[in-house]
Amino acid sequence: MRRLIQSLSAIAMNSFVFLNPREGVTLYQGKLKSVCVPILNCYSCPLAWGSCPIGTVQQSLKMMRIPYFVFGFFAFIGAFVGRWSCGNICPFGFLQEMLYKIKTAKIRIKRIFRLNKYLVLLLTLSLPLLIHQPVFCKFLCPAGTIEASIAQIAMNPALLQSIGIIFYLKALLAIMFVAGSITMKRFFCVLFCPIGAIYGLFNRISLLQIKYDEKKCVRCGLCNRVCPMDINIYENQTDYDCIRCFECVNVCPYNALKKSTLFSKTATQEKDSSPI
Amino acid sequence: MNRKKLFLIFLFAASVLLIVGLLKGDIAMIYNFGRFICFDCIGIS
Repeated sequence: MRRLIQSLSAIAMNSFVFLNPREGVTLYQGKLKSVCVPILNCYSCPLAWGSCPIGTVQQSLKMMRIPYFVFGFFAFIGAFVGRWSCGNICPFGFLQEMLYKIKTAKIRIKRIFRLNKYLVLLLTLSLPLLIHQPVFCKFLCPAGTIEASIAQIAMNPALLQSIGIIFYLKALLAIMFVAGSITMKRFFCVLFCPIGAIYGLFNRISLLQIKYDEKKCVRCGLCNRVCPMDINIYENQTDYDCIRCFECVNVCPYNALKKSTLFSKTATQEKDSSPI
Repeated sequence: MNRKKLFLIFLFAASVLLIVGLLKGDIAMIYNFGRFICFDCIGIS
C-alpha cells in the first residue's frame, strides 16, 4: 500500500511535461507553483507542478527576507504528522528505497553521523544570510541534479555551453548519492536532508504517533530489519529519524506496535482503565 | 512540558506564521521563485 502511495504521489507531483507535451515547454509556470510541496522536490524539474520548500527558504533568505509562510508550513505539517511525508510521499525517499533493493554489500550508518543533517540544516539556514548564496541548492542537493539538471539540459542543449565546475561537482555528488543509496538505507534522508531534519524535531510532539506495548514485545528485531531508516523503534517511538512509514507496525507478529495519536491512551493507561 | 500542550503551542505558532506569511505576500514570492528555472539548483550559474 505504501509503495502505491509513494508511486502515485511521485507521479502526481511530477507529471507536468507528460500532461502538457507541447514543444519547447521546459517548466510549469502556472499558479500551482505558488504552493510548496511538503517534501524535497526540485521546482526546476520540467515535470514539477509545485515549489520546493527548502529551495524557497534558501532563495528567500538569500534576499534577506524571512519566509514566514514556509516556516509555518513546516511547523504545521510537522505538528500533525512529523516525518510521515518523508516515508510516504517523498519521491526522493522512494527513489532511495528502490536503489537500496539492489543486491550488494550493505553498510549501517552509526547513530552519531545521523546528526549531520542538523549541521546541514544549520548551514542551509545561515549561509544564505551570510554569503547570499542558496548553498544547499547550489552545492549539495542531488534532487536538483537528478530531477532538474539532466532533464533541463536534455530539453535545452544550449545550456550545455553554460555548464562549469559547479555542475561537475554536483554531478559527482549525485553519483555518490546513488552509490550511497545502494549501500545504505535512505542515505540522503539519514545524513543530509534538511527537510527531514526539521520534521524530525516534531516527531516527539506530532499528532501522529506509534504506540508501543512493552509487555507484548519479545525484542525479535523484526521491526528494525524492515525499518527503512534503520532505527530500533522499540527503544524510542519518537526517534527523530522515524518516518512514520509503519512498516514496523505491519510486520510485528505480536502487535506490540500500533498506529496511534498523541491524544489516544498509552498501553499503560489502557491497562489501568480496563475493568478488573 | 506536556507533549499535548507542546503540540497545541506549535500548532498555534504554525498558524501565526502562516497568517503572517500570507499577509506579507509570501505566496507571490513562492510563485516568483518557482516559475523560473533555478540555475543555482541545476548547477549552472
